[in-house]
Amino acid sequence: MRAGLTGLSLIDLSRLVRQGEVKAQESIEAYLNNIKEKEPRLKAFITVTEDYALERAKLVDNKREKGRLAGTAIAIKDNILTAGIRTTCASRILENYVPPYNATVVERLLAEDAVIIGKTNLDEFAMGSSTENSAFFPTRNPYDEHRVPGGSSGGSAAAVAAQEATAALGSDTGGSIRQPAAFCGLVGLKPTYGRVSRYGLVAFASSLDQVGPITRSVAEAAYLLEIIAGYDPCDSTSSPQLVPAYSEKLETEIAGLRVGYLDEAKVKEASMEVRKAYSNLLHLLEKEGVELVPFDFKLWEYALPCYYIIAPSEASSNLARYDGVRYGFRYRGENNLREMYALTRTVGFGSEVKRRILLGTFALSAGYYEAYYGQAKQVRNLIIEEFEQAFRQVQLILTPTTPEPAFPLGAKVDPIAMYLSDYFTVTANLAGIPALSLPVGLSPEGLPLAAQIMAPPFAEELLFQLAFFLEKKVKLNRN
Amino acid sequence: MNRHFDLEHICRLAHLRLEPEEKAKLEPQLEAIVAWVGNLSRLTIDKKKTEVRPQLSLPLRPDEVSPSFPPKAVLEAAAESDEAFIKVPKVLEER
Repeated sequence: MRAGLTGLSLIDLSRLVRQGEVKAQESIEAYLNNIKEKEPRLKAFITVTEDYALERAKLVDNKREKGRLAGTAIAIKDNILTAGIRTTCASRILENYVPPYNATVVERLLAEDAVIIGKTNLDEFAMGSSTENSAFFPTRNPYDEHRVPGGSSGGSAAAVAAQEATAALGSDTGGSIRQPAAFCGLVGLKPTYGRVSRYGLVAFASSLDQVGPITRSVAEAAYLLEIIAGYDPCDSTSSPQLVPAYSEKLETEIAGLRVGYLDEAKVKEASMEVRKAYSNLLHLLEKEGVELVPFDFKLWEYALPCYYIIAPSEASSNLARYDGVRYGFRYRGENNLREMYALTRTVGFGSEVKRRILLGTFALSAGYYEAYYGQAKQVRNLIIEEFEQAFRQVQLILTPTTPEPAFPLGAKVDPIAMYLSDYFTVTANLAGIPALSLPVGLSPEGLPLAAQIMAPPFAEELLFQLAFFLEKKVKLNRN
Repeated sequence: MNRHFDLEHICRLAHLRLEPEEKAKLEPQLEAIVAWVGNLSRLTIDKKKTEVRPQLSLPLRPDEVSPSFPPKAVLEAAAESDEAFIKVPKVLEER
């Protein structure tokens, strides 16, 4: 077996497979070997689809015309449906659920001859920021195994960082792609709401959820978005806007670009190393001729409480379907329907999911609806307006991705302390705008630090261009 | 302490039944979270201004008959089924 195959980019690997210089089978075997070696410690996957992947690789090798992802090993977050492959959402309630169909994003990957290498761990139903809320086991950060990989797409990020997969798909409701990408030194994109189909993504908060790529470079994220984005008749919230060839337009002149940044007061809660990396980045941009504009976002402090009303409210409604009837776990022994509902849900859901269902049920309940959910919806509209105003003055906004680098496993016991991890990321979900996290340095302890770029709706092209420029400028030693 | 949060009532609405131990853990956490998100009420909002936001228009797909999932595949996912039906415990109680 050739050395170094797992270190190749998505773009290079698929090109070599298309040109016949590397066999898909050879590539998949290299990834499976990596998985065998690293998984006992990392635990990034809930299911490794070894036999299926080798079978698929053979099929790809036998094809005359190979697709744009030929022979690449893609890891899929385990809340994205894969026909015939168990999809658990890291929950006991779906522990043995095998979906009868593929999510549209999975269909699009397969149509380009990608190989699904496995289903990755997450916080149960994507609710969390550390992957510790998985009902099965926590995942470890490849940079430091005593630390979390972030969450909720922590398994996807750990798998890509450890070269157990070429790239991965995650889902992002409040930061669940960007924060784990930041913690694992990767690029993570939450696309514009509607850019990528969510048909077959298990719903958490439907007005916020998006599927997006987690990759080792900006070019790979652009390449993967091109493939998964676009209108889907099965998802009425997907946009009919045409998908540009993002990966072919990465080079651009950035001098003269107007970029908004958060003032000192908004980043004061971030750790010293995060603030330092952020200010270094701003200096770098200024030197390159970018016009920096202070961004006085009045409602920033309110975004997190607003999110933690809207997301649990939608979750409480979306998760009502897990009642032991049509799919998933059923509590046996009850001969009354209501009892069966209650016991199925009580036994099947973990603590964080119950906490959010109860919180959402409360926010939507008679007597409190207007004060909580109604108020949060209005604050959300004001946040959208603030972004609209900001994007009249600047083309992009730059912030840190997370308040701190990866924290130790078990360090955040208080739920509110965990929720604060989303401080910089939830605003993009509330506003429906695209946001990308990219690595910008290492902390003194050797942990990845990251920055987030936000753009107006459907301006992913510009987002990638600035990210591509920064990636070249910021030299980071990735292992 | 949030006086409004009646955990028993909310659990009934959500079809959840907490063990005393879990209740003791979740209740103070939920009260703290409700107090924290309640900070939003500090904002005075001009309702007229925020309620006129136009909704984004969503494209409709053609209204055409298309095949659905095979019933067998759907029934296989259910916890209990009987040929063409999903089985559930008794819905009506005897008096």
